[in-house]
Amino acid sequence: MTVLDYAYGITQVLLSIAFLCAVYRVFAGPSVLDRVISVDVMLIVVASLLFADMADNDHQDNILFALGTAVIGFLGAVAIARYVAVRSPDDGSDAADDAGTRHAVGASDDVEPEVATGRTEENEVVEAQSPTMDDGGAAAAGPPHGRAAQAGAAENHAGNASGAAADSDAEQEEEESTAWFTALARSRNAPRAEGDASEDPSQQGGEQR
Amino acid sequence: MNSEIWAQIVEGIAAVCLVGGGLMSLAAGVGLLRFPDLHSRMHAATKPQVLGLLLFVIAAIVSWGKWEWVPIALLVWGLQILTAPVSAHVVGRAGYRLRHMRRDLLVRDELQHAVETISRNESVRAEVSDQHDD
Repeated sequence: MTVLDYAYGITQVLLSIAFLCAVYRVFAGPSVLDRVISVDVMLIVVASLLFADMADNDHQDNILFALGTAVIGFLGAVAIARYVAVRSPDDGSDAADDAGTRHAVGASDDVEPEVATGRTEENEVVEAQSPTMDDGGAAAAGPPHGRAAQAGAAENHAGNASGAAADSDAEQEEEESTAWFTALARSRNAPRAEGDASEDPSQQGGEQR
Repeated sequence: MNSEIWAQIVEGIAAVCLVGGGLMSLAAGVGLLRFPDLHSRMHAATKPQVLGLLLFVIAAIVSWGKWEWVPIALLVWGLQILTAPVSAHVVGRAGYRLRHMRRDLLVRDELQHAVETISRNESVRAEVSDQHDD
């Protein structure tokens, strides 16, 4: 065995240990974001192993697989991180997070139905596994219920003024870190909503989601 | 004789780069295990990994000894170094927004000031409509 073969063996052991550490983090990560970055680590370990094999055995067969693995790892991590919405035991906080993520996405109306359907799937997965919604969980328990109730009531009443007043009360009770995002998201949705809401804002609110 | 020594040097460089890349990935894995917070784990998962991948690419290029495959191999690494900061940023931002972080480990939260400033801005809230919830 040459020096390169010994080095390749040692590298395989090191990468396997890193892979097992990432597997443990997938198992034990308190949120889906921890699991996403662990899966990204695993994919780069796979790409590194492909390169190491090509270096030791002097062939270039798997170079496109290494390229595809790295690209898929990036796309998956970004896609999940953009659309994730961790749901605490109450139902209200994901509305704030979803509005925040819609702002991140760019708030086009094409995306919103897909965001709603995708979000429900991930919420069901994440809901049972997110014990560490920390100090924000208790504080968000009260006002999101208030906001959900007021949003339901606002759908039955016409006009944006009552909705704005209800939302501002809920937002002041909400934590600052999500209030900023939700306010920006609503301000971006508002021009389109106001143009359609001249006739019947309650129905527009139901259709747009 | 010169080519023999050169071949051994090349092989030694490739071996060192292989083991170095393995150690970098091991650092990423151990960081994932040991760090207490999402954001510190994100640092550990993305930064040493990219450097480790560069060492693997260098080992492969040096071991092949041909110039044909250098652009593609560097493309793989270039794609990774362009996308690793993006994925780290997106994951960190999602973690901050969802409040999935340990604030007791923070030294300084620079985003909080901007968040509070814009939250107090009434002109934003004036445009709020009631059609944001499901």
